[in-house]
Amino acid sequence: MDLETLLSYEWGTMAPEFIILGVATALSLLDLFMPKKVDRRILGWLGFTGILAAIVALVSLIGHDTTSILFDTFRLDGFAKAFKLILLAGAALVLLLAIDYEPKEGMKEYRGEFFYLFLTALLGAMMMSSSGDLITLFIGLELLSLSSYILAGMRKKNLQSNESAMKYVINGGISTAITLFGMSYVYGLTGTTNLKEMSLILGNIADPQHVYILGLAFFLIFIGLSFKIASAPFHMWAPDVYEGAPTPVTAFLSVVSKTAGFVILLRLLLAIFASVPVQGDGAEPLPLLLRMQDYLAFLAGATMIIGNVIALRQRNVKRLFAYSSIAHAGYILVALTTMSYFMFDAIWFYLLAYLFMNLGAFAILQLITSKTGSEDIGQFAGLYQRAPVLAVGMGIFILSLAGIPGTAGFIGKLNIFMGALIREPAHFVLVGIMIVMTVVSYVYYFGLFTQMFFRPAADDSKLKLSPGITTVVVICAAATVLFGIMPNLALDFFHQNFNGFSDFLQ
Amino acid sequence: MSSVPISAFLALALILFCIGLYGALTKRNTVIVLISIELMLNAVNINLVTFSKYGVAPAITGQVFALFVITVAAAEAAVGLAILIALYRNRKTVNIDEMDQLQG
Amino acid sequence: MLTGEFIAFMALALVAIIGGVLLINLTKVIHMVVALVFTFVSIAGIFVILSAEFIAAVQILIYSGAITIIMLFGIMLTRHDDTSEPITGKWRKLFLLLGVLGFGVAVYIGIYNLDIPQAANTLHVDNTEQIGISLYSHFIIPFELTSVLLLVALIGAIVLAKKDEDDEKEAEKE
Repeated sequence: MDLETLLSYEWGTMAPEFIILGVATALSLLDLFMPKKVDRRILGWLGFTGILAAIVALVSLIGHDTTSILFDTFRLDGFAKAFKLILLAGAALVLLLAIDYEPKEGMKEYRGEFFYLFLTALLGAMMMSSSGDLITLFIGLELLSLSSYILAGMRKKNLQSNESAMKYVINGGISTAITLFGMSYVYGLTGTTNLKEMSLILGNIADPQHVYILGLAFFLIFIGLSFKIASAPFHMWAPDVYEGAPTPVTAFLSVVSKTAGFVILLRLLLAIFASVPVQGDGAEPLPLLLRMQDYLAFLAGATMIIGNVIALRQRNVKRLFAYSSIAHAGYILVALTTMSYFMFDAIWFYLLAYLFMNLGAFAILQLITSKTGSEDIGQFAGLYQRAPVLAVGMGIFILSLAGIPGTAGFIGKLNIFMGALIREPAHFVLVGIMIVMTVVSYVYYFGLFTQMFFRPAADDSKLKLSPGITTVVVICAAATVLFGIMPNLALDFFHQNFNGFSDFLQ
Repeated sequence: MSSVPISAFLALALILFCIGLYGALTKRNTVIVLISIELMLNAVNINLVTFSKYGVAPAITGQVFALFVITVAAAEAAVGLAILIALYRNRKTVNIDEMDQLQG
Repeated sequence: MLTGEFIAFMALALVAIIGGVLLINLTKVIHMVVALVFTFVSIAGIFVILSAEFIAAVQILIYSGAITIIMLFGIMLTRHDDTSEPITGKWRKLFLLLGVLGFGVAVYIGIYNLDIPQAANTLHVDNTEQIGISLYSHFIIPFELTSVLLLVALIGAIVLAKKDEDDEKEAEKE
């Protein structure tokens, strides 16, 4: 390949990635050469501007045709654009939280690193969402994982942070190895790492033994990736890591990293396993993915039950939200399991709603835990007297997480229900579990609610708000209510611009 | 043609993978757990290189993939040990079951 | 059919597996690492049989060299009461052993008589050159991304493992 071919590709379509990469590099150099006394927060604002610029670049690319660079090692399709929007918006809000983050033991020295590791993690996530090649997907995944390991251990004098990072690395390493083992078999049976070619080759596969191996590979890949989305059977790291990691990092893991996990899961499952025909009992061969529905349904159900039931007895708010985020991963898995025509809409919308409601809740959580130094649920007592605005905001987020009508969370859940019921045969059991578990989740969500509104505060001092956190809370609350009342704003945008991802495998 | 069947290579990779998986799940010592993970990744590499020669469409891609895996494995080992050293400085232990700060 | 290739494979595979088993069963951490070096080197031999000379060289450099040394550093920088074996969890161990064995058997059923029609290949001819061409043309994007990944690992390892300046000052006072 000569330079001419290399230059003939439309590198402009990678503009958002280039911007993030450039800003991350610039920040690392600035951090190195800036005098020690200068407040590193300025780097955070630079990073924030960079993300905004990347969003602008991405929005200007929305009308752009599907582009593939270098045999799909980078591709810009509707799927990539839609999910990159969520990733970038989430990262921008998380960065605002990180700028305001002020832990007890201080982290002055490592604030610079903190910001550019956020950006590299984001870069990994973005590459994952816009690649059609196994190797790029894998490298993107690892870039995200490695950056998150380091971020989780950033408060290095805090024992909890150390332990959470250690557990994260060990679990992450095992899950990576399992995913790769599955990928190696898929590569072996197709002889290519390109997802599009794979799906063509696998469409003609007939040997039952090959199908058997592909089934195993499916499980290996799914189990390995369930680590990233924190669902059963690889969920046990989540509470420990969420509790120990710095709060903005927890927010990042529970929103951006989880979204990226679903992105790579969708890419791999739909590109590889949806095209494998399996000769069933009936005359028509079914895709392997549909054969696996029962197992997926089982895992989705188990995830919802584990997340919601264990959350009931948590006193630590960060652990509570960790289990709640496991439960939400379960809800999204329901949408994935049913594979209805609305699957993409439902998952995309749920992730969007989840982004706003969860980040808003984490903003308030960060403010309260860093003010009091305790993560006990009792710290929320009397929040309404101390800071009415925050209490109302938190109220909105909790209502949305619980799925009460009028909020984005409700619409998201409704979409998933509809998808599950519209399908023949309808997934009544799964929907049943989801409804029961939603009701169970009311117990702990409203426990938090009563603390805030009906319990007297331990001290009546007013809470001082910082601008970053206020901005995040206001944006998230507005978005949660807006998408709750007018969900069509988001859904129409989705349908008009991304065409139902019809270019997924083109 | 080769005298060693492809399944022999795959079986070797599988055995090493299982040893690594068992070690990673049962060992207390963090260093050994990290080493076990490396063993699992090595098994993946054997698979990839085997398929690169004896797979459906022999091509260099498998070997390139294996190179990427090796790179990532090295990076992961380095970060894992850095975290271990930070932890050791505060806690003076490398045993996983003595990491008990986080329990719910 | 007992060809030289087959004998070489059997010998290397045996050493690799014995190294792995010793890794699980030895009690001293240092011994475990030494056992592992044998595994890594014999895997490099396997790569040579599979006409992947470049990967074999990298395997020796990175695994037997770099990673083993990193692990040794890790062991020496941290204190180990290394002969102690787990006190609890006999049942858990048995359960996990059965689980891993079950997984192994399930995969083995899939691969033990896997037959893929063999196609001629030229992997052994200019192996390094082929890898280079593929890496710098087809896979240039993941390649560049890997450089970011290594930079992240480098910065992260320094940040996490470095002793802080105020720590040192405190240490000097004491």
